[in-house]
Amino acid sequence: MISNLTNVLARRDLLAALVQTELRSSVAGSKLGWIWWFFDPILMMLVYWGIVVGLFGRGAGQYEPYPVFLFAALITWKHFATAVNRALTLLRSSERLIKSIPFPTVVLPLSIVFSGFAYFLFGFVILLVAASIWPSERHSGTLLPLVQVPVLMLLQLAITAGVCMAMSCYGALLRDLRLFTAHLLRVGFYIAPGLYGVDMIESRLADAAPAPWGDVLFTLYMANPFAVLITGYRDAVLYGDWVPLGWWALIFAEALVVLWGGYRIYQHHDRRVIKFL
Amino acid sequence: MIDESSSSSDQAEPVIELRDVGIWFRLQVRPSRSLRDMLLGRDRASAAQTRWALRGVDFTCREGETWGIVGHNGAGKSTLCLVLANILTPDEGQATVRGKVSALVTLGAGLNPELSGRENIQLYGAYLGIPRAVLDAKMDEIIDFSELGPFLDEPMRGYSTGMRARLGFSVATALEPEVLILDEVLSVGDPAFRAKSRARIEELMARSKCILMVSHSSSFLRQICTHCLWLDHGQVVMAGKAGEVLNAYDAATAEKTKNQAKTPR
Repeated sequence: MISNLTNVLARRDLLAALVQTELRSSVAGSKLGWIWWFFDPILMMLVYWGIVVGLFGRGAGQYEPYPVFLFAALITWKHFATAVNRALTLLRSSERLIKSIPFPTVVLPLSIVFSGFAYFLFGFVILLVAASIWPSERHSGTLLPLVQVPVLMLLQLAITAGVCMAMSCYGALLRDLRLFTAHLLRVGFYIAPGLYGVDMIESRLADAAPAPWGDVLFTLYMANPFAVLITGYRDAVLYGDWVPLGWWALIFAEALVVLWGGYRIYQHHDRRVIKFL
Repeated sequence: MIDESSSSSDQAEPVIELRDVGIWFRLQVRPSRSLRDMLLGRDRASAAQTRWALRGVDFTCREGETWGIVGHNGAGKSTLCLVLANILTPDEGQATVRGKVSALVTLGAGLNPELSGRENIQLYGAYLGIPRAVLDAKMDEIIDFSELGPFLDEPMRGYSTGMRARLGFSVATALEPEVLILDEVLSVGDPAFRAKSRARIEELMARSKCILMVSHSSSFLRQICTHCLWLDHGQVVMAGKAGEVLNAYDAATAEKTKNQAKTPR
């Protein structure tokens, strides 16, 4: 079955079953079960927080409360990085399945994106709770900017799905890609911006380059959709702020291009890639 | 693709139609495409690195026919099944299959060891495209047939290979297909279950429009098939009435075995 939109919609029950399976089997073997979905991102945050604040003595002051600030970036990037990493080996590891049942194989990368999104949502609940327990002094006092959150989440889903569709094909065609992207994804978190805010990049670039170029470079930096996403979540949840319109325009355009591009790439390789598994 | 317009009264329209079908595979010299090829978007590999698994295959199957597919290892039988099941698209030529296809190729691929047997039945059914309502209605029948009984709600991790295959077979044959493709799957489970699965397949055969089966046993094919297709090195050697093709195939095989026996070691 060709992985076009019609077939995927016709087989949405399969997509649902796969997401369900993924979530169920992730807790099946462990003692704590789904409690890990809460623990995992918190432990990860503690590790980074320990390194940045405990070891380097950074972060405190400028981005208070820093653990919450860090957490917003961690869960967002983790959703993307985990999904891309898994997409790279996905088709190859599903070879037997793909070669025995005709189905639109694009549901495989999509199911990874959606099940990862479920973990992300768990993390987001923690983020909301933490932000209400330890409110930032910079918070504007209005909760209205929270309406941006669902839109940002949809954009994040679109971008992650687009990238994963493309990467599942390229990962099957080119095995080395996985080793390369593992590093890229790690660096990506620091660039994303994981440990700091984009205001730091903005002021550094303004210092480094003459007048108009600092702004130009900063706009280029913000072309990274995760810079907008992470800053957006922080603004909405931590500070009660609005994401600038220009950034919205930028990320909307990018999400459309990435989603459409990933879909087209998958359609192109769809049946051909099976021969290379 | 499923073509709903085909009606059973329309005798002229063949159920399966392959026209000059060809499929190439890359020889495993290099495991994957080079970075340069990929960046340049080169799709076709050079002739030296590829092998045609099927080439110039013409084949027509009409309603009511049962086809056996014979040939030596690597003749392209399984690749042909993949094309007929709509898993691989031909690189050359055209393949048309009119009707709902069910392919029993590898039973039980896609089952999840962490889930229970019941959950796996639902998952496998979803892969096969069995609507949830239909699957729920057939659930008891499937469970009954699979003989899993007390293990049904246990994680699949503890299942034996035979149990997994039984579960796969039970779900895969729950729906009645119009076109049935069997790639040597009649040897599932213990003798008792094998007899039962044989009976189930015969039942399916009675109700489907046409059947294609791969087998190395020509005596078995003689009993069941009306027609036969003989493949060698990806090309059709002979296609026609089962008796004629199998006679020729058996003769050629015997000849080959004799020659091999003569060759000094």
